[in-house]
This record gives sequence, structure tokens and C-alpha cells, in this order.
Amino acid sequence: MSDATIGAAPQAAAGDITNVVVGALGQMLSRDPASISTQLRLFEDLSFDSTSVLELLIQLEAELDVEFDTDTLEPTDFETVGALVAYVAGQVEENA
Amino acid sequence: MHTHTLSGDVLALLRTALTGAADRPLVLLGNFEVEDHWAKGEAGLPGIVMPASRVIVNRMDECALLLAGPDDHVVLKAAPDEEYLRYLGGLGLALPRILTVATGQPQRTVSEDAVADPRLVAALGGLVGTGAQLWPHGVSVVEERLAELTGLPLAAPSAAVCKRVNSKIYSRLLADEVGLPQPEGMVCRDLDELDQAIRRAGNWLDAGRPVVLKDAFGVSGRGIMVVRDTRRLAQLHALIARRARRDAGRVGLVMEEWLPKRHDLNYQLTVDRAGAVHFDVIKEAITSDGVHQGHRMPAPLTEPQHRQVRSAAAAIGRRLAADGYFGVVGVDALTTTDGRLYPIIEINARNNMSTYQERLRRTWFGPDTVALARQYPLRLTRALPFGELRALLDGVLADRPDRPGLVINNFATVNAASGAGTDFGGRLYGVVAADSAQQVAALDREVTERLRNCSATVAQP
Repeated sequence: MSDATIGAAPQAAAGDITNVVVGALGQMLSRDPASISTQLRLFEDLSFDSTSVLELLIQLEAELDVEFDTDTLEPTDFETVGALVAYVAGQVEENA
Repeated sequence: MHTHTLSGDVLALLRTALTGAADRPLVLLGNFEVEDHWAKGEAGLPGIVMPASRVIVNRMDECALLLAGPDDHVVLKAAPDEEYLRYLGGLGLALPRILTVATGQPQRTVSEDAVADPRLVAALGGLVGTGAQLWPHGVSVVEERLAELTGLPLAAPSAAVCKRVNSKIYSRLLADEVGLPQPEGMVCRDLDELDQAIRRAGNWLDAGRPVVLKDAFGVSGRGIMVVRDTRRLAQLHALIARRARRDAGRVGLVMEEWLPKRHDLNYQLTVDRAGAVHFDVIKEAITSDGVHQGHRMPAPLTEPQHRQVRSAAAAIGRRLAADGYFGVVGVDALTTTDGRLYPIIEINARNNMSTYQERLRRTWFGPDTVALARQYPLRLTRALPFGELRALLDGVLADRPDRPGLVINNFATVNAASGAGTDFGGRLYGVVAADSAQQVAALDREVTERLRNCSATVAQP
């Protein structure tokens, strides 16, 4: 395995996770996923509330077959779409 | 045992209920959202608290000023605006002595700040000789710790009792036991009960009836989920079951039918130390996505419905007293679109926003007053001093009892999130009162408009 492959694998995984997260958000908010950038803020820009957080966690757990350790979940993990992708990627890695 | 309406001096009656003596001095702590402590380590639904809203809610500690008398002390996270104190004095409220914590951390409740402040602990310890007792908004292990550190007895039951009776599981079991109507549903304390509840919920969904799953210790819209399809139910089941298996099979939820609601209601009762139950007041609750926004008075109920509520309050109070609880209790209830009254949805055995309005309600508003208690959300570019706010609302603020206008009942929440050098959110809490609902609505619009035109408000697009 070359260094390039080692470097490429997590990037590909992160890209997949971004697609899954953005896809789930698009479905929940009835919005075109292409219009959801990673810079968008979940609460301020996408009008998220406490119920949406739970709904999204459920959806992502089912789609990614992963169990989030919600005891360690911090509000900053839900600040932007990008922060959420990073949190989900971290959890996927821990579950692997 | 009997139920009767409070009359006379609300503070003396409350004090007697809490401590057994009408003249016992109290030390008040406005530790709002004490539920977060009760929920710790419990097997509920995952959720998060946004830091900005926590910073504001923690400054609701200032509400305690409205319930304290001249011989009491109130512990606050920061000194109130002097102009606001003068304003409260002008409402005829004899103000208490105020103790502030040395270093208030915005993310901490006033109780968490207090236990971390040795000088404040010592000052509170110095009040033991006066016979003073500690009266928190609600009692968790943090307030118990403060009582222990200071030597001040709690004017409340133990944290364990308070936590137990605040569980939604407790309210469901109580309603069944005393025969009060409640939404169809069941409690889930372990995996067997969860499986049973999910099967039942599945049947209801098949029949087109939505269901709701609630965390036993959820608060303010957190830990609650309405489910309308079986796929989502299966996903939620998997999420809860996985967590339960990791936690010795423990589950802490209730599953209920989702009722077609007409009005949310909230009523308050007080259980005294001797076990007598006093019915205080019922209001219509205004909520948005499960988050409390305010109240309307009078509640839109028929006379038989009022009687039904009072009878439920008496039964709930008796049961709470038997389980070792005394103090203020708020009960959520609702009416459905087809006119049914459900007198118990959940019990909040702690002070409520409404509790802090009780003195004003009795001294400031007339018997026929129509009132709207609410929060005005603000987006500010800089801190707004009370004097400036008062000038802005000149002519809209009620200037004497039983006159139409706005009464402000929490100011610290306006500027709680200021200081970061950027725009910030805040809340102004107040009660708009008048002789008719139309007049209240007009005053409410006027307050909103004035706040929008404030020079500290972020310009609206």
C-alpha cells in the first residue's frame, strides 16, 4: 500500500459521510442537497431545533449502521454542517 | 385534607407551606433548568443544549427577586441593573438583600456558581443563626451540596424525592393510580416494556394514529419525538434498545398517543409541609415546538373543566405529599380539539415561570385582568441598559396597579449573552395586562414594535 493510498482512503470516507449527512439534511428539510454547504449553521441558517437533532441522529445511525456515543456530544458538534460531518466521521471511525 | 384557594399575603403563605412559619427568612436561588441535573446518568433520548440559550436561561435567576421579601436574601450570578431594582421597587415590591457570586460563569447555573465560591458559602453560612432556609427553584444534588456547605436547611424535600416525582414515568403511574384521564400509552423502564410499547405504537401507526416518545426527564422540547411512520419507529426502537443493552437494560421513556390539541394548560398548586394542598392558579400555556414561550390568563376553560382541574390538583397534591414532596408544583394539562380535558400530562415539582408572577398577580392585577406573560426575543448589537429600555417603553409600561400596560419581570436575560463583541440574542420577560384580549394584543404589538425600533436592535432586513 502506498502513502498516497493511505492518505486517500480517509478523504474518500469523509466525502461519503458528507454526502450521507447532506443527503439526510436535504430529506429532513425538504431541500435540494446541492444547496446545503458545509459552512451553513444548523440552528441559525437551517432552523434546526432539539427535535431535529434527535431526528437526524436516528436517521444517520440507521444509514451508516453506527452507534453515536451521545454522552460525548457537544453543542459545537452541531454548529455547522461541516462540524457535524467531522463529528459523524469521528464516530464512524470509533465504531470501525 | 382539603383544597382551598390561596388568599392574603402570598409570600407569608408560601413561606408557611415551605418552612412551617410565616416569618421565616429565605435564601432564594433561581436555578432554572434544574432538569439537566435530574437527567444526568438517566437512560433517556439523546439531545443537546445550545450554549447561547443556556447562557440566557441561567440569567433567569433574577426572577427570584419577584418572590423575595425584605428579610430574604437572593443569590444572583451578577448584580442587577440599579435602574431595574428601582423599577421593581416602584411596583411596590419590597426588595430583598442581594448576594452575588464572585465569578459567575455564563454556562453555570447560579447554584453551580455558588458552590464554587467560598466567600459566598461563608456569607450564607452566616445566615444560619437567623433561622433562614434555602429555597431553590428546584432541588438537585447541587442545591443539596450548597445546603450542606452552608449549613442552611433546605426549604424543600431531598433531591432524590424531587427527581423521582419529576419523572414522566411517575406522572403516568400516578394518573393511573388515582384514576385521572391521561393520553393512552405506557411507561418503558426496561427492554421488555420498550418492546411492548413499540408493538402497541406500531398498531396505532398502522391505524393512522401518531405517537410520541418522551424522555422521562426531558425539558423544553428536548427528549421528545413525535412519530408518524413505522420506519421512523423502527429506527428509534433500534437506537433506544442499543443504548439500553449497554446500560444494563435500563430505559427511561414514556410512549403515548399524540393528541389533537386545542390548548396547552399549566396550573400551579402548593403542597405544604403538613400535606395540605392549595390550588393557586391555572393559565393557558403558550409553547412553540415544546418550548415554553409564555402564558395567557384567564385560561379558556368552562366551569366544569375548572372543577375537574381543581379535583385533579387535589388528588395529585395528596399523592405527592404521601411520597414525601412539599412545595410548589406545576402541572401541564391540555384540552383537545373535540373538547376533552386531560388534567395531567406531566408534573413539574419545582417552581415555574408562573410561580414568580404570583406576587404580581395578586398585588398588581385586578380580578378581571386579561394578561399575557411572554418573552420578547431580542437581537442586539450592544448591551441595553434598563434606563434606556424604560425610556423606549415609556407610555407602554404599566405605571400603577390594575392599569393596562407591560410589567417587566426579568431584565438580566436581555444582556446575558452580550460581551463577545458581536450581535447577540437576548430575551425580555414581561406581562402585558389589560381589560380585554384585544387591548392586550394591541399593547403586545406596540411593545414588539418599540423593541424593533430600539437603537440597540439589529436592523431587520
